[in-house]
Amino acid sequence: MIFLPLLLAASAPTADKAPAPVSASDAAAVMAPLKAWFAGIDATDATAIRNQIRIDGGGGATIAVSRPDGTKLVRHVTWEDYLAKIKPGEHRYHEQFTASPMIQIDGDIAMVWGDFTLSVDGKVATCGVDHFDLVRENGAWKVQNVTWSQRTAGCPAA
Amino acid sequence: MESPERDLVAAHGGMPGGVMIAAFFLGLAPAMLDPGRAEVLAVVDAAFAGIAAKDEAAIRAQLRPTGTATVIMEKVDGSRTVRSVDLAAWASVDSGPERYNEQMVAPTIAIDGAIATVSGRYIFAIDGTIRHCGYQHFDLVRDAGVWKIQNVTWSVRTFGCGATRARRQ
Repeated sequence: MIFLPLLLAASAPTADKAPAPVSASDAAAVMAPLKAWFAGIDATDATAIRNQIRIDGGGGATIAVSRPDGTKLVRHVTWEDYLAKIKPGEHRYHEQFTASPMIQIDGDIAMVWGDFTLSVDGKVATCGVDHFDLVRENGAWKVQNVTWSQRTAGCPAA
Repeated sequence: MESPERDLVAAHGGMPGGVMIAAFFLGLAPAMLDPGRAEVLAVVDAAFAGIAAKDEAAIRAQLRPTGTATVIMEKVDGSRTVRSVDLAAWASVDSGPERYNEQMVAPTIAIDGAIATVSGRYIFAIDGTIRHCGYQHFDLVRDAGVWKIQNVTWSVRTFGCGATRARRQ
């Protein structure tokens, strides 16, 4: 996986300006827990993912599913419910961003928005956009919430 | 008086997968945007209108039933605290006579299918004077054709907010 920071427009840190530019080092710091998260998916290691979550923050995962028949579904799950589904099985999973995600950082808040694919046994099964909401607490970036769109149609090849 | 609880809990106060657009001052933005983005912005704007009207029901109508409101308080001495509460708490308002006005400033809007984000700097004014500012990040989803706020995260600073007076009162 390659994570390239998207540099945002420069500005002074005042209220009437856009967020400050994202340096490569700041972007790398924000992306580090997401890289670890994706590695946890690849390894079906729920603990590795849990370590990237602000687990006491009350957040969770929200999924907006578009089915091939056109029906749509939105559901929200707690972190515990999400993590309970991450367990070793017969399939190999791999999730990655397929392009440089948009990254915004302001103080101890960050958001990452980017296209992803999720492959099962080497074949892209679903795709969409991952939207991570992160906060930095005690010097460490953690995921407060994640929301993603999920579809099976029109996905790029692995 | 400015409510500490309001500050802490209810301080409403192009890219991959979508097109990024910045709109200066959220309340003025919808008419200038395409219908999709205007629809997303309208949800945040309606929440801010509820804040201005101190109408909890109007704010709550823009929120999903589950989600979090996370606030990072930034102190002048550099110390920071992070607190998360149920999203419903974000709708809390006090009944005092102060006039609240919250605005996003040049927000970034991204949409992919039924998910969206509105993010960027905001200002929060009381009786026409900016009292705090920061960065605010809304996470929205569209369910049954209706956009609502799933989560919100924001920082609160009482310094470095500039002398700009709120444009909408």
